Amino acid sequence: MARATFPDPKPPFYRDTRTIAVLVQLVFLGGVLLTGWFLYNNMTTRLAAANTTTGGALSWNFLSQTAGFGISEGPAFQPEESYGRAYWVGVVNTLRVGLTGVLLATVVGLLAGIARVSNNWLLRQLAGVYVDLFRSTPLLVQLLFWYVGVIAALPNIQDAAELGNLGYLTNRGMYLSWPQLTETGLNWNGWLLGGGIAAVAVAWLQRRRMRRSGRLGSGLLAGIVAGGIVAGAGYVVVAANATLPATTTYELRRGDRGTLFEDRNGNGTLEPAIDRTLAHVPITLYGAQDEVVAQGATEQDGTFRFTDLPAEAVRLTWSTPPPLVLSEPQRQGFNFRGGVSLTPEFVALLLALFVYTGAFIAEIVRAGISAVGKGQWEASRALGLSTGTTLQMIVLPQALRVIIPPLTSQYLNLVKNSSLAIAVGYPDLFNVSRTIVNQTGAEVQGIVLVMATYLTFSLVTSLFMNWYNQRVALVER
Amino acid sequence: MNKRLTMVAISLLIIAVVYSACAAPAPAPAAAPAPAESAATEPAAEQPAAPAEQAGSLIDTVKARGKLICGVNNQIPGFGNVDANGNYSGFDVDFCRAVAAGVLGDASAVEYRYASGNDRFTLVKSGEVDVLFRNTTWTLTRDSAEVGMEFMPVTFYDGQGMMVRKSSGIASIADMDGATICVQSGTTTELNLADVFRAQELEFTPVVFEDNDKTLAAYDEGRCDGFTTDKSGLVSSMTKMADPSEHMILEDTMSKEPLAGAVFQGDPAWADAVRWIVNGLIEAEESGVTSQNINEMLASENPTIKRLLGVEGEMGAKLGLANDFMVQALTQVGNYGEIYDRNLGPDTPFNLPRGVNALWSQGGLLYTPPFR
Repeated sequence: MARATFPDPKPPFYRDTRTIAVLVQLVFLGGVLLTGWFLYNNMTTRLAAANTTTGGALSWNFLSQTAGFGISEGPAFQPEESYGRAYWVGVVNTLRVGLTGVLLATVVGLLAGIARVSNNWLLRQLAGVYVDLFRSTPLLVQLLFWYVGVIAALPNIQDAAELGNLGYLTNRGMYLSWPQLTETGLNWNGWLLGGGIAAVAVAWLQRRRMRRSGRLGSGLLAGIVAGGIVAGAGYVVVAANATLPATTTYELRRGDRGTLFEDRNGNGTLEPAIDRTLAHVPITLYGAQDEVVAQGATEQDGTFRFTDLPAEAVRLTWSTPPPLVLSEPQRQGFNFRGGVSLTPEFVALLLALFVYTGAFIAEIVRAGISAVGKGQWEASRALGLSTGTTLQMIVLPQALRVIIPPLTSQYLNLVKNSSLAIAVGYPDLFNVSRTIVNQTGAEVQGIVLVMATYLTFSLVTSLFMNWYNQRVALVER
Repeated sequence: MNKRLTMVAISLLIIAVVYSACAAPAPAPAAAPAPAESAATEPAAEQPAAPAEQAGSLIDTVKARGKLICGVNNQIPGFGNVDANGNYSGFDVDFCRAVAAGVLGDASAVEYRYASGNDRFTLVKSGEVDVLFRNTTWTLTRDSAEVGMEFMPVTFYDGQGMMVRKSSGIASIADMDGATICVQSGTTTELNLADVFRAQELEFTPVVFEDNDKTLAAYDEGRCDGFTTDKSGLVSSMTKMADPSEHMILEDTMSKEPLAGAVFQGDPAWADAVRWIVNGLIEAEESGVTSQNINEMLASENPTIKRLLGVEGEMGAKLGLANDFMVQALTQVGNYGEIYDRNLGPDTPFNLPRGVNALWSQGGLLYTPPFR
C-alpha cells in the first residue's frame, strides 16, 4: 500500500547518471571527430585549390625522386640519391646523437645523483650546482652556448691544436686517430662475433657458478677474458692469412684520385653493382718518370684522393695491410682526411643534450635513492657492508623501481629534443625533412613522416623501458 | 545531477567557441559567401567557413582586411631587412609597399612576416601571407603544382656566387676541392652547389643552416672555407661581417637566379593584380614616370602613360583594382629605377651596378608586356 504511493523509483533518462555519462562521452567524441574532420577538410580544400593537376591528393612519389642536395655527415650520401635515402640519413643521424646522448646522460645523471646524496660536502655542493645550473636554463640557450661560445672559439683549421698523438682539435671539429678494419680484417669479423658469444656464455656460466656457491658478482671479468682470448687468437690467424684478391685493380682519374677494387668480372672497369671496393689498403702513386708522387691509403669506400701532388700520377701499387690499422688524420687540402672526425654540430648537440638531460636524471636518481628506507642503509651497515657495496647491492636495486618510470620520460625527451639540431645545422631527421619539404612542397607528407618516426622511437623506447621496469619491479606474491 | 548538466553545457559551449574561433580569422568576402566552384573536388556540400578565401579572391580579402600581409626576409640589408625599431626596408620590401599602394591606396598598410628559406612556400600555400617578396628564385618545381607557387615578373636577375677568404689562395671554384661550404637550407643555392661541384668532380662538405645570419656567422668564424648564396646576397652580407676586407667574392657565377615575387597558385585574379603592379613599376621607368614628376605626367598626352596612370582605358578595373592604382604605387613608392637606386644604388653601401637589371632599352633584361 505504501509502495503504491511512492513515485516511480526509476528516474527519467536525462537524470540517470549512467545515461548522462554515456551522453557526455558521445558529445565529446563527436566534438573531437568534428574538429578532426573540419581540419582535414580545410586541408584538402586548400590543397585542391593549390594543386590543380592532382586535385590535392597526397602523393608519396617524391621519396624516390633525386634529392640534389648534400648532407654534411652521417652515412655516405650523394646528391644524386633519392629523398627517401636522404631522410634515412637524417634518421640515422638522429639515432646517432640520441643513443649516444641517452647513454652519456645516464652515466652523468647517475654519478651526479649519487654525488648529491654523498657524505662528501664538496662533492654534494658541486653536484648541486651542476643540477641547478643546467636544469634551470633553456636547452636552446645551452646548445648555442656550446656551439657558438665554446666550439667556435677553438683554433682555426690552419693552426689546429694538436692533442698529442690522438688527433687535432679545431673549430671545424675534432679529428681523432681511430683503429679501422682493413680489407683483410673483414675475416676477423667472424672471430669477433665468436668472441662476443664466448664472452656472454662464459659470463653467464661463471655467474651461475658464483650464485650457487653464494658469492656475489656478475662473471663479467671471466667473460671479458674469454672473449679476448677468442678475438686475439682470431687476429693472429687472420693476420697470418692476409691477402688481397688476385683480381685487385684500380681506376685512376685526373692523376690524383681513383678507386681500388676487386674486379670480379675481369673487365677492368669499376662497376659498383658487381665489383667490391677495398677499404684502407696502403697505396703508392707513381708519376710518368716512375718517381713516387704520393703515398697513402684508400678510404672506407675504397677511394683515394690527393691534392697538390708534385706531378700527375700515372700508375699505382698497393700492399697487403694488416687486419687492423690505426688511421691517423692528415691535413690535406682544406681539411683533414683519415681517422674519425666529430663535427662541431654533432659535439655541440650531444653536449647540450646529455648535460641538460643528465641534470634531470640526477634529480631522479637522488629521489630514487632517498625513497629507499633509511633502515636498509642501517641494516646493511649492521651486516658490515661497505658504503659502495650497500649502494650497489642494496639501495640502487630498490631505487630502480622508483627511478625507471620518470627516467623513461627523460629518454623520450632527449630523443625529441634532438630536433633542436636545426639551430646548429646538424642534419638530423627534422632538419633534413625541412629541406625535403621545401623542395618538394610535400608539407603534409613531411610532417606525417617526421611525426611517425618520432612516435616509433618513443614507442620502442617506452616498450623497452616498460619491459625493464617489470624486470626490476618488486616481486609481489 | 546539476553538475553533469553543467558539464554538458560547458562542453557544448567550448565546442561552439572553438568553432567560431576557427571560422573567425577567415574574413568572409563582403558579398560572396562560398560559391560552389571551389567545392568541385569536395563531396561534402556544407563548406565550413574557413576556406572562404578560396571562394572569393585574395584581392577581396586584402581589401576587406585593409592591409596586405607580405612575406619578406629580415636579414639581407638592401633586400629585406629589419632595423632595431622593427621597421622593414629594402628592395623586396618596397615591392610589398607598391602592391599595398596599388591594391589599398596606402603603401604603409603592410604587415610584414619573416619568411624563412624553408617555410616561405608553406606560408603562401596556407594563406599566412598574401604575397612573397623574399629574394626567391623562380624555378620549374616551385612554379609547378607540386610546390604550388605562381611567380610574378622577375624583379632582380641574380646569379649564385661564392665568398672566400683572401688568405685562402682560392681563385676560382676549381680550387675548392675538398672544401667545407656554408649554405642556407631550403634554397636553390643549396642545390646549385651540389650540381656545380658534381659537374667538376669536386668534393665538398656542406654545412647547412636555417637562416642567412647563422650561415654567415659560421663562415665568419672559420667553420667553412666558403660561403655561398646569390651574389647580391653576398654583397649585402659583406656589410655585416667582422672584417669585410679579409674576404672576396669569386668571379664564378654558379647559376641563374631570377628573383621574383610569388603568390598562391590557385588564385588567378590576385596573381594578375600583383603581376601588373610589378609590371607597372617597370613600365613607369621605361616611360619616364617617377614619383617626382607624376603630377605633370598625369596631364601627358602619351597614350601609354595615360593608360598606365589610369587616365584612360580603365586598366585598373580589369584587374579588380582602382583605375589610379599605378598612380598610388608610383607616388608613394616610386618606379623600378627609384626602388633600385634607393636600396641598392650608388648612394647605398652596396653600390650594385644595374647590369642585366637595366631596362631592355638600355641593354638589360627588364621588359614588360604592354599596358593595353
